[in-house]
Amino acid sequence: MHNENHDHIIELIPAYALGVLDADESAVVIQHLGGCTACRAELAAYESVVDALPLAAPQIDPSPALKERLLEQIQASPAPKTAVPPASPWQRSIADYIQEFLAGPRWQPALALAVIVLLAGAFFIWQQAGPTPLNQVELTATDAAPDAHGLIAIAANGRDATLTVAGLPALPPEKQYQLWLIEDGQRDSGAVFSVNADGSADVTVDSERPLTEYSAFGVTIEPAGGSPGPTGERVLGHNL
Amino acid sequence: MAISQSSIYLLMTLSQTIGGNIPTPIKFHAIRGDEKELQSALAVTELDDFALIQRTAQGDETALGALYDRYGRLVLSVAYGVVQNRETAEEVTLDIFTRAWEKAHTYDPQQAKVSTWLTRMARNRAIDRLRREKVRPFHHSVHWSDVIAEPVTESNQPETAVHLSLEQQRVRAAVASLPPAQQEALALAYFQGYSHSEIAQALDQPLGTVKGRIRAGMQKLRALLGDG
Repeated sequence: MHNENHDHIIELIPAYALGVLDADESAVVIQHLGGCTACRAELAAYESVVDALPLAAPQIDPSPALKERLLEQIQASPAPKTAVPPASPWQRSIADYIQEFLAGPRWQPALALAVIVLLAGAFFIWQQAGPTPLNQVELTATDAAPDAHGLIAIAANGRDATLTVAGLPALPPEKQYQLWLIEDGQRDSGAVFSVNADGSADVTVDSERPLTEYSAFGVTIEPAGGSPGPTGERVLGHNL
Repeated sequence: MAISQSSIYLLMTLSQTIGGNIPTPIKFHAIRGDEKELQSALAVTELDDFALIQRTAQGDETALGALYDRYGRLVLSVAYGVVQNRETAEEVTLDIFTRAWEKAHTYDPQQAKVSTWLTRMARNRAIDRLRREKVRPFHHSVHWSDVIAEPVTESNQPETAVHLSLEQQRVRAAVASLPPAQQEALALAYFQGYSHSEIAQALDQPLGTVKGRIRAGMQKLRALLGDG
């Protein structure tokens, strides 16, 4: 019964991989992919083609100063938010101190343990010190995932934000969820993410502009790695 | 020996987690000062992409610099292919590598190669930018690279650069072998993020014709590139 459907979908897969299908056609493909191993393999093959295309972009050489600008910019940029921060001078000196200490012939296990406890405590405090949420935007479920919930917590600076979701179905490996920040019909990608086995995720939202400048938000199902614009089914949404 | 290996490892892991910048466990007390920096700089060019990302996630700027040296030109070229403006393309490139710096810990090797991770971000970001600024380059300016025989085997070129260059030639040759109408439709899809109907409108062609060109072009590229 679904051979006819399968034959139709498999024709759409090259275009789907390239992201040129309209939303309704994409939704049909996504629905079919969940239950069709052959189409998933087909999609993986075409996604490899799309991933090779950047190599055929006309080459231009960066200005010689661009690398310097990059290194200046990352020194000025905040430390990675949810991971290991880059070493600041005092952190480096502690690390060096520990290395010298361990490399030396005499030292005491009890003192080393005390250092571990102190550093672990400092690390814990550092982790806790995040921006305080100012605004919370609740995302509501669509028929596609009726049990889903979502919340965007926006920090006082209007820029740092976290998306928390729950109740979203786990996706096949070639799919991910993508958050869209919407203003005046314009859709900017805010995050590409997968959910845990229990359907939840905590995701840092990525935006060039303060989130308070957007009037709507949505989450759709997209090919792994995300799409330039929404192509898949919408699972969460909110209009301010 | 006054301390077990596992305790040393635990302390080192912890100090790295806190932000210490230790090149490798083996060398940590043997190298000091300038010599240490030189060793580190030499070592990063030898590392594979994933190791560079891991070091970047630990705040190692030389690792990010090495990633830029490997893929900066590629990322810039993708961004330029989309926005058709050097200044904007360089801004997008800075943005992508700054993001790689901040998000290196989220990179998942199961999902994509490092170069793919960077170029997907570059394409998406540049298309976002294009849409936000509501600038649509004239479609004839959007195109693929010519097949140019570039020198690939300078003796001191790292292996990754030679590999990338050979791959570029292979992909460019494949794209160049498509009929011009298919190349044009694929360029509008890839670089502009156009849908079927937007491409049909831009080229003033029937929708069915555009769909056929995209499908035929993708099928041929798959056949040509599939075994690589």
